Amino acid sequence: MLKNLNSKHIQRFSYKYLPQFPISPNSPKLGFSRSQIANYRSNFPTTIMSSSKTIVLRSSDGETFEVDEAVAVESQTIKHMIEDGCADTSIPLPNVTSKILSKVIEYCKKHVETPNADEKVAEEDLKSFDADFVKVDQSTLFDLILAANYLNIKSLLDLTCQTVADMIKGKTPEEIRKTFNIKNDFTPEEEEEVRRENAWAFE
Amino acid sequence: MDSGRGKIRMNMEGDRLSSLPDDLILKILSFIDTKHAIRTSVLSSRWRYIWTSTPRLDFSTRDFRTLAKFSKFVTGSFIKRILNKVLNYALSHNVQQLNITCRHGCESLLSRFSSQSLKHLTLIGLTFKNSITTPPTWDMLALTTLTLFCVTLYADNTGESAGLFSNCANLKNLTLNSCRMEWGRFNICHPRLSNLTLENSHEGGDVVAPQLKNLTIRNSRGIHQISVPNLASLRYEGHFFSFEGFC
Repeated sequence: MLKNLNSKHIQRFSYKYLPQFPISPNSPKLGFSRSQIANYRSNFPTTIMSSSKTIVLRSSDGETFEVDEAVAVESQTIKHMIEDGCADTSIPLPNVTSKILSKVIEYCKKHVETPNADEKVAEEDLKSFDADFVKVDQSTLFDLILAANYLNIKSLLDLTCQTVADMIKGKTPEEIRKTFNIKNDFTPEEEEEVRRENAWAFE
Repeated sequence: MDSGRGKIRMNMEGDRLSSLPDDLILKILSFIDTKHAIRTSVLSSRWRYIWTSTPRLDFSTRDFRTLAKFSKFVTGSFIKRILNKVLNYALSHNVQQLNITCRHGCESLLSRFSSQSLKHLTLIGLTFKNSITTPPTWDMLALTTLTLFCVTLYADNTGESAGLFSNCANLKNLTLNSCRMEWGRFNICHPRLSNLTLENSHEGGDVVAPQLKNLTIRNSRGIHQISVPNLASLRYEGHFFSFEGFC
C-alpha cells in the first residue's frame, strides 16, 4: 500500500507486490494487519501461525540461527515483522552476514539475560561485556553499526557509535584520517580555507 | 609499483567511516562535543559540511576562553567573525533552540538576530560587569521563550515606547535575570506575553502585558508600573517593595 507517492523526482519506477523481506523500518508495511491475523486465526484455528517461543533468523550467506523470541525482539525490525505475521517460517536478513548476525545475537542474548541493571554487580558485568564486545577490528565495528541500524537495536547502535566517537575525539584531523583511512581530497588552498572558516574549533 | 597500487585500493575500500550514510555519521557526531565535531570539517570534502546538520550546537565559554588567551589584541573582531559564522549556520538551519553563554565581546553579532524558526533562546553573560549588550530589536517571529541572564539591554533612538522584544510577536515566556537597562528603566510592552519573571534587577520599569498570567518578581528594586489586567498569579520575593500604580 503506497500512499502519497510524490512522483516529481522519480525517473524510473517499478513495483512488484511480493511479501518479501527485508522490510526497512520505515518502508510501508507489507503483510497483514493484526485484525486480519486475528480474523484468520479465528477462522482457521489450526493454522501455522505459531506462538512458539523461538524464531529462526537467516543470514545473507544462508546460515540459520534459532533464537528465543525474547532475544529476537530486541530488534525492533524483527519485532514488527513478527507482529505483522511475516515470521511464520524464518526471517531472512539479507543485509547481515552470519559472522555479524552471530555477534548481534550474542549481544541481544546478554542484554535480555540481564534484565535489571539495578544491581551493581549486574550493571558492572554488563558494562564490561559491552566494553569487550566492541573490541573488534574496524571492519567488524562498522558492520555492527550497519546491522544495528538495519535491525533497529538502539542500545547496540548507541554502543557502537559511541565507540567510533571515542576513536575520533581528541585526535587531530591527520590522526583521524590515518585511523580510518580517509583520503584527503582537499587542495592545500581548500584545506586552508576550511581551517580558517572554523578556526576557533582548531584552537 | 604493484604493492603501491594494492595499497591505494585498500585505502579506498578501507574508509568505512566516510561511506556510512549521513544519518549514521551524524549519530556518531552526536556523541562528540561540538568543537571536536567541527574539526571533522577538514577531513575531506565529504566531511566539510556534515557537522552543520547536527541538531544541537553546544558552545560553552570553555571554548572561548582559550581563544581569548591566544589573541589578546584581536578579541573583538575575531570572536565576532567566528560567532557570526556559527550563528548564521545555526539560524539558517532551522534551529529551534539556542543556548548561548559568552562573556563580554559578543555584542554586535547578537544585534542582528533574525530567525524564522528559533523558538527558545537563552543568553547568559558570565558576570554582571561583563554583560552582553544587545539592542532588543530582534526579529524572531517564532520565538516563544526568551531567557536572559546578565545581559545589558538598550533601546535604539526611536524611543522607549517601542518596548523590548516587540518584534517577537509570539513571545510567551520572558525571564530577565540580573539584567540591566542601558538607560536605567526597562519597558516591557507585549501583547502576547503570558509568563514574566524578573530577578535581581536594580532598576524599575514598566510592564504592560494584557495577556500576562504569571508574574514573578524576585529581589528587584525600583519602582514598577505594572498593567496586567489578566494576571492569574503574582509571586514576589525580596526586600524592596515600592510599587506604584499597580493595577
